[in-house]
Amino acid sequence: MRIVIDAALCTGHGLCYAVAPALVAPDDRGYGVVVAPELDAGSLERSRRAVSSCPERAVSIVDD
Amino acid sequence: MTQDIDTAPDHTDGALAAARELDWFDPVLREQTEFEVYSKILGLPPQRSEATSEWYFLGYDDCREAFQRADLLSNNWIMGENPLGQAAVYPENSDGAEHREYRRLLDPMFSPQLMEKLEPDMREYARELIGSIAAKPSCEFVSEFTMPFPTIIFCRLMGFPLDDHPKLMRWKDVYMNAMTPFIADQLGIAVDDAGRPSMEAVRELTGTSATEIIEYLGTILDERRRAPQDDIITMLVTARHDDGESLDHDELIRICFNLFLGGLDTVTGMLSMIMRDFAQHPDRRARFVELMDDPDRIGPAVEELVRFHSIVAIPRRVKDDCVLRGADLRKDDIIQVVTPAAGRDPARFAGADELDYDRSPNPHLGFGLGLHRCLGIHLARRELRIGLQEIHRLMPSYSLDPTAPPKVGSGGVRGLFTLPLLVGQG
Repeated sequence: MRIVIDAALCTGHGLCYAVAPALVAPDDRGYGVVVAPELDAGSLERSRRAVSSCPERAVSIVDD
Repeated sequence: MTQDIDTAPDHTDGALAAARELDWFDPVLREQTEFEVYSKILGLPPQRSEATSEWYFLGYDDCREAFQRADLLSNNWIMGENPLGQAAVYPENSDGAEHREYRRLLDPMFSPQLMEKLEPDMREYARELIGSIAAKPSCEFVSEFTMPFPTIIFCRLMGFPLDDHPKLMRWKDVYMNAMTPFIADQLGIAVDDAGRPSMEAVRELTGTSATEIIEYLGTILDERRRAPQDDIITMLVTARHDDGESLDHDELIRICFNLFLGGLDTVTGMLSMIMRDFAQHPDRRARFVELMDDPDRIGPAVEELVRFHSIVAIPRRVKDDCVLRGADLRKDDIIQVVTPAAGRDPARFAGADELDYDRSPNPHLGFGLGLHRCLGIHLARRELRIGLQEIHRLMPSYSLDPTAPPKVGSGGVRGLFTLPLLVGQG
């Protein structure tokens, strides 16, 4: 499973990297960039919080 | 049975009546410290107010969609000559490709990384201000802290001399609050027989201040062109459009005006609302003080305070006749997207009228949403966190002064004009 950010929807609120700093980091505009796309049991809960925190609904978990 | 029939329509009629009367600038709405007004209007679809002829978007999903539909709604809502002579500012009043380009240039100047570097300075300014307040038995917290704190940080960011902050605070009052009798009086504006500030006098003072601000900015812009520094004015004069051209003088002035209007009144307003609430509800304050040094809990706590004390209604202009969230909109109608109402929508937030510092998720609209979301979001969060931490470290007890109730603001941003506090009590 991977965490992905839809660049067309992200406007840089910064809540994803606030709740999941090991998975997402800010770029130089404050937009979220995924740094650890592959999710394991330990990071799934954090990534779910990043998904539900995003007011733009730009973050999702993809099950390949 | 009779009772059910009697009470149900009553509630609806009351809600609709309240919605028809909606006026963001109505002092009665501003007086609400809790949820009296919102409790009546929550759950209503978009309403056209008879009082202002504007549309009010209130529900969370309605507000969210209004913010995201830049294809239907324009940010260029300044129609013709504004009575106070205010002009369009950038990026706030720009749309489309023009707006995206301004944000591409400006977002990096307010990035979380750059704001983090300011943290030691922010703490020092906060400690200095709160240190002199904590040594006294009483204070007027707005003029002594919530106004100067973000204004000094703004000076530091922009590259203005820090000692210029009182001048900036005065300009801000002229621009945003001069129609309020209390502020007009402080500014020396004549009032008419009904006690209202004379529109002519306000317009004259606004014009004089605009000239002063433009001269002030012009001087600093020229200085930075000659001798670059590590500040936003320097970044602005060295910024380049996509085609490689520098920003022209008119653009620079409009951008600086936008930063000035966005940066000074917002954190001031929200901090004053939070502090009044903390003075009135020592339990809420105590719970905040308990968690404020916990790095995992302070971030969500600040987000919750922003949801709970959201301060802005954000205007949009309808581009063409359309239907949005059931509202039959006409070209050039003005919509107010009421973020405090969205933050209290019980359909989105469980226990919306309770302050839950651990609320997660908390996708509130306090900083707006979509392409125009608050440019200073990372700055504002940090100012709120540091301000509240330093206040409560140095001044843990305070209470409202029973002889001097707070004066509620009536400008475009919710907030207080005064907050007299007794220090060391409560």
